[in-house]
Amino acid sequence: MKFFSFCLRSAFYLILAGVVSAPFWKGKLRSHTAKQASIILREVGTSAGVDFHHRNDLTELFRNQPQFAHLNNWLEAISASVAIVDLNKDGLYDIFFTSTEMGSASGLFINQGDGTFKERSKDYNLTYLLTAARPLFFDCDNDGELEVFVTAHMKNLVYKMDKDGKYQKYFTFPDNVKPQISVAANILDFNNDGNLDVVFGGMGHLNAPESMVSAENGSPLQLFEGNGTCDFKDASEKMGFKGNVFVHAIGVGDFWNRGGVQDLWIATDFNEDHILRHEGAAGYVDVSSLKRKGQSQNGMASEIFYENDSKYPSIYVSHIYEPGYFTDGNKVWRWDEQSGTYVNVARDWGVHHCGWGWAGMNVDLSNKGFADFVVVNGFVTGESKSNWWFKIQTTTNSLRPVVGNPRFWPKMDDLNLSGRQRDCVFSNDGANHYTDIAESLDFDHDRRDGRGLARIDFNNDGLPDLVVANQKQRASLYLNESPSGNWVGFELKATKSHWQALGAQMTLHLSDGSFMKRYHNPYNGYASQHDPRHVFGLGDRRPEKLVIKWPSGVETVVTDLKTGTYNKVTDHE
Amino acid sequence: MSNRRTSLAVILPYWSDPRFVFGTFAIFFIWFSLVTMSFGRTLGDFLICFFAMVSLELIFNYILRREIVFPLSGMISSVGAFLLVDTQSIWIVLLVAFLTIGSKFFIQLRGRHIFNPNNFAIVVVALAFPELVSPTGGMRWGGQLWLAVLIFTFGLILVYRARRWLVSFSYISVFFSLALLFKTMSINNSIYTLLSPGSQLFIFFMISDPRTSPNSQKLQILFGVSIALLDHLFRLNQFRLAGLFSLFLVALLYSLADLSLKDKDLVKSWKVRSVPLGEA
Repeated sequence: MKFFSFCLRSAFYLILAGVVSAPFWKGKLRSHTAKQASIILREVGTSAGVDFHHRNDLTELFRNQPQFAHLNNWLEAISASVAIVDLNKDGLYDIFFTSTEMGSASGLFINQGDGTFKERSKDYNLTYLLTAARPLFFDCDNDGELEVFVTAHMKNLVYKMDKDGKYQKYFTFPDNVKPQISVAANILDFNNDGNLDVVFGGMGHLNAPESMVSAENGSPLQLFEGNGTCDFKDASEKMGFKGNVFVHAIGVGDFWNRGGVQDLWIATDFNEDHILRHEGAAGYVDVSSLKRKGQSQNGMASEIFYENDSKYPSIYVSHIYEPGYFTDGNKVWRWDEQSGTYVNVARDWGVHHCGWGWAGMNVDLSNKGFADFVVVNGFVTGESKSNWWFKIQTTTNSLRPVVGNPRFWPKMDDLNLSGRQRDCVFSNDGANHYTDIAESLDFDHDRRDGRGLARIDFNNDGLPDLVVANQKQRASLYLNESPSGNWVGFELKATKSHWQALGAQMTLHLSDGSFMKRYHNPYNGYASQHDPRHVFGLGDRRPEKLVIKWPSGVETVVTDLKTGTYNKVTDHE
Repeated sequence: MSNRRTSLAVILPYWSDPRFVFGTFAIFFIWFSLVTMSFGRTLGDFLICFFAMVSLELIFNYILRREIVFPLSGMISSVGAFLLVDTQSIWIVLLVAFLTIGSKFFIQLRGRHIFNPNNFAIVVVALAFPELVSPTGGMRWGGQLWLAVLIFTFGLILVYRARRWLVSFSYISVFFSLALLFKTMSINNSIYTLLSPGSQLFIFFMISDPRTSPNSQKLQILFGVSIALLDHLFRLNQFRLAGLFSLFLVALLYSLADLSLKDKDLVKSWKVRSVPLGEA
């Protein structure tokens, strides 16, 4: 027994010594695990002519809201967004950034085809949009031209292009008269009538959340049904939308492969994410309880993607990771068919820790045949030595009457709140083990506060380039110069449903018997509209056939697949 | 090891043991944390924590003292760790369990453990692995008023039964007075912390631990006041473990002082009975 006693005592002191000395050996351990991947991303914003600075001083807007004056940095921290769109239909994708401050200019950068862009927002009358946040280009009147839906602090509007090619205000969404921080929006055709519909939410009407984990005093989630003329009527009640939530992003997908339905994953702040299952004409049913318990009360992005050989989509939701305060971080919700629940696998994959995450994207950066993750982060960059975390938690850990009243929140001043963080590039080793290689790539070298992150192939070489909308900072454009594997690209156009083919499901079968899936919705993610074309990285495999389930229900099989280029696909085939 | 026995015996608590009072309240806390989505805890999490602590206490007692002790302390500690440690790593849970139980046996002065076992383990692990663990913020409880009132009531009953109400109330008095002053002077908002269910657990269920807090009334007051003062000092310096680390330091100082004060010799915190194996 003395021997065991000695062993127990020794084990205790050894383990205790190991724990106490952990701050010294942990860093060394990590440095051994980092490895270089064949990904090259070069920031080319300025040299390519994409010189855009987002502005969001809201003093003017909140002048009559003195109870919020001390929280201005917080309120001004959410809105930077980006949309990728081929506005002049020249086959080269352009970039549109909004700027939120009253009187500040949004930027439309037209792709010149030689690796450079020219700012042309005035030509399209898109320069001055009142308190604009999130732009979503879509065709709401089925004429082949793109209108733009812009969420804003003041009013959510649809702008329509006139005969001179200039955008003019056309439709104002009702019930949104109070100032509202709003970037959560998506486009869908929930009733499959061929007319596009709009869903959006917000971050409350200038009110503090009553609780940091179970608040129900945010904004109503709203669903507006389009009639094909860019006029919309409120279908929220009819479709079963209820409650007020603080929403950052709304992801659309067919979560359980039922076909013809558009389920919603609502990335929710100050409460659990909401999962709304589309039951056709019966509306949406809240099935949030299908998600396993976890600390997921600060959802930001809602990225819908498929793992290789997976029937069901997984959902990436960015969260806050702040050592000592929030340690769980980002989530990857994977459908577990056996248990009938969503299980978080982000920790197993190693993509859970990336600061205060915003947009996240599942993207194959070198066309090697399996996707990486890019996550942009950083909330409010302020003075570096002090931070607001300690101060704010004294309020947020308290009771609802305190938490829910902005008067009780501490002054934010110029304090740092998870600012100055480096974005993450999680490189996949092919077995869903990810390593953050952002530092070795010098990605986000000056640590801007990223919000929107969009995928664009601006030189049409099949490698995804990246655009980041940074809050109150200069935007970033990354040219992808990675050595590329084989790839095949697709551009969808429907004729038997709305031509944008939102909701189409693509399955690419490969020579080795494996398959890859995609859901067509370029508005998923966070504060971003992506290049609508799809690139499948193949590595050294060959594509055998592409099966597309179109929104009309038609299924087409394409076998004549050209690699190294974008194949135009319609539902005629 | 002064109470080492030569023959095997089962050590059982009396029903009057105040730890049973805590155990009763603990059932509510566990239930609440399991049914509240924002707590993010599952029954599996609790069972891992519970069985780890209970097993470790049985093993430690048997190997080191050759006693089979009803693991009531391990049960109580498992509830504390389950509620107070936010982590997603099972290794962290097991580490907290090991350090919690181990500290009772190996970090001692005059045969008594120095630190509240949960407090010791949480402070050490939270300082060492801030990327994996944080003390549970009061926000996880949801901020409902009724819950705060309930925890406060439970706390009052417990500190009264454990004869440690002076520790809790001296802490509250000093913390509140200074917090009010700091609020008035716009220095900080630490006054709101007192309303947090997390703080109430700390005040009524941790700093009042009969084993590691003083027996004499004067020292109890001094103990509570010292923790409150240090807590504020750390808060002014934005140290995120202000309360927990204050208790850690004050408990250490008290144990050192007790070498000469002999306060712990006055009264035994709670009684147990030894039943030879076969008669239990």
